[in-house]
Amino acid sequence: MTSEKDDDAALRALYAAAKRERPSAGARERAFERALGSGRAGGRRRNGVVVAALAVAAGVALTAGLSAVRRGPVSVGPEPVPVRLTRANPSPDLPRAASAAARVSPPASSAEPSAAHVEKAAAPAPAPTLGDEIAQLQAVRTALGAGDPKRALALLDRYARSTRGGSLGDEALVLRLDALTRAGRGAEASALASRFVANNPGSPLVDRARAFVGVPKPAASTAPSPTPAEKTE
Amino acid sequence: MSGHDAGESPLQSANDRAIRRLVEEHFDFIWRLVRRLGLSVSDADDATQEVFIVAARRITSIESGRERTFLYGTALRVLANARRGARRRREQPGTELAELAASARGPDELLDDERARTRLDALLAELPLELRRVVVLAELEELSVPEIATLEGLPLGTAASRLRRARERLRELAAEATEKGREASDA
Repeated sequence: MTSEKDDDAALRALYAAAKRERPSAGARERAFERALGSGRAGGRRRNGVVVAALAVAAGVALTAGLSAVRRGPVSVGPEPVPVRLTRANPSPDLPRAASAAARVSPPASSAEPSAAHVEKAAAPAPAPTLGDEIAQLQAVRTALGAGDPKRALALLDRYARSTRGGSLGDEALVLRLDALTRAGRGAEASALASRFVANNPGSPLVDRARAFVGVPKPAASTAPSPTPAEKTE
Repeated sequence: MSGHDAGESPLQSANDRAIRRLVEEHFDFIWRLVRRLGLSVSDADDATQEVFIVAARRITSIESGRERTFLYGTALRVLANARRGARRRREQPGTELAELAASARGPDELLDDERARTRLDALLAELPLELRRVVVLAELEELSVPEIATLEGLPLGTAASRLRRARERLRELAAEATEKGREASDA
């Protein structure tokens, strides 16, 4: 007979071996590349609204004027349509929360059936998702559109604190340049833009930032609406 | 390189960074999960890739703080599909244990990692799926019971009792396998 101790030690050795196992060489990179391609294709073809919202949040609206803002908000919420994992007969071995997660949860404000114990479980809080960042920048854009650059600046400060830079830091900076300019602080905007241009020559937003260098006043907002990203496909 | 176009939308590149972060933080977790839930190395590579393709499509709608839960749920669905699609090996109950016994000729024998993993998989294969998942999360990913409960959508007590049952069962199976191995080497 073996003792429980021996069995436990044997099992621990097996677990240790399993922990040491690694994916095939390059599997992670391949997954990233494929995921990237899929994220782009999926975003453009099936998710035009979200992509349009992304473009707006990026500050595309800035250079073309903010008239579009007043026409109505663009939804940045997740669309509720399941992608392709939903099956007619869901496997009975799938846990409830997992199934719910795979269907993608509704926007954060709505209650979820399993939320009670999920919240108690107090999972560690990771960095905000891109969706959160977009929502925050959307609020900035809305404030700008409503002619409230001070509020936009306050929201941008909050964004900077909550994301510590975030994935959309450059986009936030361009929004800040616009907010500063509209708040009559064109000199600050110009200085900030100069610094950004000098430090981020490779940024895709460098041209947009450069437009604020030495510009004391906001451009007239009679330009046509920005072209939504969905039309590019 | 990932081939960024000069004219690419800045938000697109932010999107790419978010996908990159998701892959970097969770790829190994998902891979080990599907691997221990029954896929071969190459099938695990493929399944994990599929999980992240799905996640990338939904990158802007994954709730803050629920990335792992989203990926976990997606992985289980991908896994279920992979199982259904796989050539159905009609395994008789006990077959894997018998193989395991045959491969474990001496309790003191030092197993290399490959053999250890084969043994582990044989033991895990004897567990019902719901027990298998919790023990993999606890022992290999070193997740706490509350974390497991979150991923599985279970009350804490249920998660704890499943984990307890899984560990008891694995211990019994390990003892059984060792006995069989000993009998085989005595014969």
